[in-house]
Amino acid sequence: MKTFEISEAIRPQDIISQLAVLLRISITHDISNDALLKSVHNFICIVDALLIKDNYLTVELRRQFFYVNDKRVKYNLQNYFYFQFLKNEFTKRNLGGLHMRSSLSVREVQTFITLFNAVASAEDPFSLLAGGLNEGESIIVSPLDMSVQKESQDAEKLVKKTYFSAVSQFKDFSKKIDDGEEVAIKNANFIIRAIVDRVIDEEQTLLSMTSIKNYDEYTFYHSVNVSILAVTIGSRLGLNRRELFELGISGFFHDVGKIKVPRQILNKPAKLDDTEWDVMRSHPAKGVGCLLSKKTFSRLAVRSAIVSFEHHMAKDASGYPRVSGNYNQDLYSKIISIADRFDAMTASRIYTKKPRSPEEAVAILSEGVGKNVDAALLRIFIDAVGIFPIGTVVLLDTRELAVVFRVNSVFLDRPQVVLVTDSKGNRVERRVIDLTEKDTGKHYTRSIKSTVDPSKFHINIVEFLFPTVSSKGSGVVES
Amino acid sequence: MSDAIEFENSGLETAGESLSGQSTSQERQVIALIVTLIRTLEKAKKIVRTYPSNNQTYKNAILDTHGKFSEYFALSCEEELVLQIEHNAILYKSTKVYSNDDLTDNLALFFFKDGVQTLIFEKNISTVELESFIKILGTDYTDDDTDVIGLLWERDFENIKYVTVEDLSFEDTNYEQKVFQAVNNNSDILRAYEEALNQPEHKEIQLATPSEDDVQLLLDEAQEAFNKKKEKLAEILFYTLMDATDPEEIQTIAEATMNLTIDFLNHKVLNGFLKMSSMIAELRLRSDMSTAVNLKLGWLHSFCISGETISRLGDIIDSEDIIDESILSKYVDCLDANSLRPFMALLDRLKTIRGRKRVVAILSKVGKKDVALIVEGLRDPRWYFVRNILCVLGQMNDQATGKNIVPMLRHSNARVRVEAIRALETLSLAEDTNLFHALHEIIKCLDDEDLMVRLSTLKTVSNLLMSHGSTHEDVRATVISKATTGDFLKLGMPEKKAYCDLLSRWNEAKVNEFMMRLLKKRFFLNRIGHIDNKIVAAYYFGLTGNKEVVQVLRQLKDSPHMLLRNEVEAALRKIESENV
Repeated sequence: MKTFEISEAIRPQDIISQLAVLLRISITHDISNDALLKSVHNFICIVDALLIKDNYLTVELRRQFFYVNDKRVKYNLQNYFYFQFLKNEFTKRNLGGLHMRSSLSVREVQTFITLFNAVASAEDPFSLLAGGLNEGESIIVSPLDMSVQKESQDAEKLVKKTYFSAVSQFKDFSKKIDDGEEVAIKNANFIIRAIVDRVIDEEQTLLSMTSIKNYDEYTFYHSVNVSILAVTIGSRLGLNRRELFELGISGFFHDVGKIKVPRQILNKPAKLDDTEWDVMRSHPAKGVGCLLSKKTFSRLAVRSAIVSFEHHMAKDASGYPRVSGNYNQDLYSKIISIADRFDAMTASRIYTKKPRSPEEAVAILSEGVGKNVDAALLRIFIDAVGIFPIGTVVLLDTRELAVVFRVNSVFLDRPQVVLVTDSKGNRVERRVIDLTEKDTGKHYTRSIKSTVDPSKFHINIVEFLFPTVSSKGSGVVES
Repeated sequence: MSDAIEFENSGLETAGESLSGQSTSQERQVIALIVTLIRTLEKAKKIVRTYPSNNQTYKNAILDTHGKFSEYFALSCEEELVLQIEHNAILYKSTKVYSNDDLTDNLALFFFKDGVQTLIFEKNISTVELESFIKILGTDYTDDDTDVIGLLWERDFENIKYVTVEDLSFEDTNYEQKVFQAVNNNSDILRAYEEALNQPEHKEIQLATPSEDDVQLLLDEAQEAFNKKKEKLAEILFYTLMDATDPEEIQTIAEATMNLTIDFLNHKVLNGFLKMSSMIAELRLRSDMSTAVNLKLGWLHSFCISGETISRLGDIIDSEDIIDESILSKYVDCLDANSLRPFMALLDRLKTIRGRKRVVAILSKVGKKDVALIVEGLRDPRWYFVRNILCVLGQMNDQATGKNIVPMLRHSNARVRVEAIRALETLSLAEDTNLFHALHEIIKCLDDEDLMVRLSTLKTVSNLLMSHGSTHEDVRATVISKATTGDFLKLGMPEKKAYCDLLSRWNEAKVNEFMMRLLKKRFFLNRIGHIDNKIVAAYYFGLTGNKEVVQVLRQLKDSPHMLLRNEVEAALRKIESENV
C-alpha cells in the first residue's frame, strides 16, 4: 500500500521532513496505527525515490546541518521546524547518520522507530540503537561523533583566510573613505559572498573567529565580526543566499559613518563629554551619507543605509537617532543590532577597556527583549552562539578551567570546551571535551560552574581555539 | 554526425585550423557538438527571454539544450564539460568553440566582463538547473549590485561551477601573526583559575522559543518589496537632513534626497515621489530648521514642482491604475501657482481618460491660486484643451469665471459647447444669484445645430430648475413655445423625450392640450411619425401623471405597435399608481 504520490521530483529535504513527521507521530501513536502506517509508507516511497537516483542513501547530521548523500540540505521556513526536531532527536541519541542501501520494508521501518523511541532516555542510546538493529537490516546507523570528526583542517584554513581577507579589505575601504573616495559597496561583494559560504558550510569555525578581538584595529575586526554574526542569524532564520548577502554587506558597512567622526573623539581614552557624545551619536546618520554618494539606489546601498541609520535604535527610545513613535526598525537592522551589541560588549575598546564576557553579553541582550532586542531573533542568535559563546572562559564543576570551543544548539549550556587547566590549576595538554558526556550513573561528567574574564588575566583565547597556527598549540586531542 | 565539420558563420576559423592538423575524428565530433551546444544555448537564451515558461517553444528550448549536454557527455565520456572564457571567445581544451566580436550580444563577453574565467558543467546537470542558468544568460540587469557572478552564486547550482578572477588570494599572514603573537607571555592562568573558583555560579537565562508565526513575520519582513525599503530610506533622509549641521553633510543628504526623488520618478513609484514631495513641503513649514537646511528644502521643493518633474509625474499618473488619493491630495496641497502651467501642459499629452481626470482634479484644486491663468486656457486654439479647461473651471466652481465660460457656448466645437453648458450648470447649481443669467445663456443653445448640445441644454435646464425649485417664466415660455410648434414634431425621439422631461415639471395646460391632440390624432396609414408622436405624448402623460388622459390611453393599449403599446402601458401604470 503505497499512499504517497510522487507528483514531482523528490528533493533531499523531503526525507528530512518525512522522517521528522514519522518520528513525531510515533511518539503518540501505536506502531500499528493507520496514521503511522501511512507515514511509514510515505517515508519508504521517498527513500525508494532517492535510492533510484544514487543506489544508496545516507542521512547525516554534521555540525548542526543535515547532509543527504554528502550534500548539505538547505532548510527554509517550511521545513525549519522539522529540521530542528530531527536535529534534537538525533543529538539526544548521539545519532550521527542513517545509511540505507536497499529498499526498506514496513517491518524494518517499524523496528527502527520502536528502537528509536525506546532508547531515547537510555544511558548510551546510540549503542542500544545500533545493537538493536539486526545485521542484515537495510538501515544502518552511525554515531554523531563520526560526523563531527569530519571537520577538516583545510576548511579551517579557508575560514581563516576568509576572515583575515575581510578584515584586510575593510581596512582598505576605511582608508579610501578617509581619503575622500566614495564607498564602492560592490567591491565587497566577493568577500561577503565568501563569508556567506563559510557561514553555510563552517558556521561554528567562522563564529570562533569572531571571538578574536583586536584592540588596536577594533573597527575593522568589529565590522567583519558583525557581518559574520548577522549572516549566522539570517542563515538560521532561513533567509536565502541573496538576502544573506545583503545582510552581510549591511553588517560590513553598518559603522561606516564612524570614519567621518573625528579621530580625537573616536579614539579618546577618557570619557566623552556631552558634545563629543553628540558627535559620536551622529555616526549612523553620517553612514547614510557615505553609502548614498552615488546617484543610483541599488538594493545594497538602500539596505546598508537603512541599517547604518537604525542599528543603534531601540523601541524604548533609549537608542539613537531619535525618531517618531511609530517608526519600525527594519529586520536587517534588528539582526545587526544584536550582532553589533554582542561584539561591542565583548571587545575591549579605547573607552571600555574591560570587555564583558560573552556569557554576560548574552545575558544583557536577554534583558533587552521587548525594549531593544527582538525576542525571536535573540533566540535564534543564542541557538547559534550558545549561552556560553565560543571563547568564553569557564570553570567547570570539576574545578578545571576551559574555553568554549563549539556550541551545542540543542543543549545550549553544554558546549564543547578545550581544557586549559586541570583541577589544581595546572596547564594541561589541549583536549576537547563535550559537556554532554555522561558517566555510568547517567550524570554529566562535567558542567559549567562559572565564567572568568580572560582579558583580566591576559589569556588569549585564540591560543586555545586555533592551536594549529598558534606557536604554543600542540594539536587537538579529542576526548 | 559527420566528420566534416562546418564552421561557416560561426567565426571559428581558429578552431577549424587547429582541428585540421592533429585532431582525431572523435575529438572533431566533440568539438562540433560543443559548437552546436553553445549555439543552442544562445538560441535558448533568446527564447526564454521571449516566451512564457508554459509555452511549448520555451520548454523545447530547454529540452533541446539539455539534450545537447547529454550528447556531449555520451560522446566524450567525460564527467564534466569545462569551458574557458576569453574576452571574445570560449575555448574547449584550447580549441575555440565560440567567437564573437559583438559588444552587445556576446556570450563570452557576458561572462568575461564580470570576471568569470571558467565554466564547468557536470554530467548530472538537470533541466531545472539548465533552465535557471539560461535565465541568467537572458537577464537584463542594469543596477549596480548585480553581476553574473552574483547571479550564479545566488543560484548555488549543484552541477554548474565557475571559476572567477577574484579569489581568496589573501596570503598576508601579518594579521594572523598579530593575533596569535598577542598571546601574552605574562598570561596568568593560575590567577585566573583562582579567581574563577571565587566567582558566583552563572545564572540561568530564560529564553523564549520563537513560534512559527514569529519566524514567519520576520521572513515576511525580509521579503518586503524593495520600493517599501526605498520609501523608508526617504523617511531616513529627512530625519538625517533635519539633524544635519555640517554644510557638507547637508549638501550630501539633500543631493541624496533629490536623487531618490528622481529615482522614484524613473521607476514610476508614485507613492514614493508623492510622499517625498509632501514631506519636503511639510518640513518647509517648520520653524525649527536651520537656514542651511531650509535653503536645501526650498531647492528640493522647487524641483518637486518643476515643469520637468510634473511632466514625468504626468506619465505615471497616466499609466497607474490605482493611486492612493490621500497621498496625491497631500501632494496637491503643497503645490503653488507655479505648478499650474506644467500641469496644464499635461492636458495636451495624457493618453488615458483616468489620467486626464486626475490632472483636471489637481488643476481644479491648485487653479484657485491663479484663476486667471486657468481662464487664459480658454483662448487656446485646441478644442480638446479648451474642453479640459472648462472641466477644470466647472470643478473649481468659481462664480467669477461664469462670464468667461458663457462665450464658450458659442465655441465652434460642439463638445466644447457641451462642456461649457456642464460647467455653467455646476456653477449655477452652487449659487443661484447668477442662475437667471446663466439660464438665459444656456437656453439659447436649444437652437444649436448639434443634437448633443441641445440634449445637454435640456438636461441642464431641467436640473437647474429642479434644484432651485424656481419657475423662471422666460425660460418656461421659451421651452413651451418650442415644444408646441410643428418644428417639435420634426425632432428625433430622444430630444422629444428630453423636452417632455422638462415640460412635465410645469404640467402646463397649453402643453397638455398639444400632447392630447397628438395622442388623439387619427391617421389612416401607419406613418412612423404619427406613432412616434403618440409615444412621446404617452411618455409625457406618464411623467405628469395626468389622470384625465387615462381613457384615451386605454384606447391605445391594444395598439399593434409594440413601442406605443409599451409606452402607454407604462404611462397607465404610473398614473394609476400615483392616483392610488
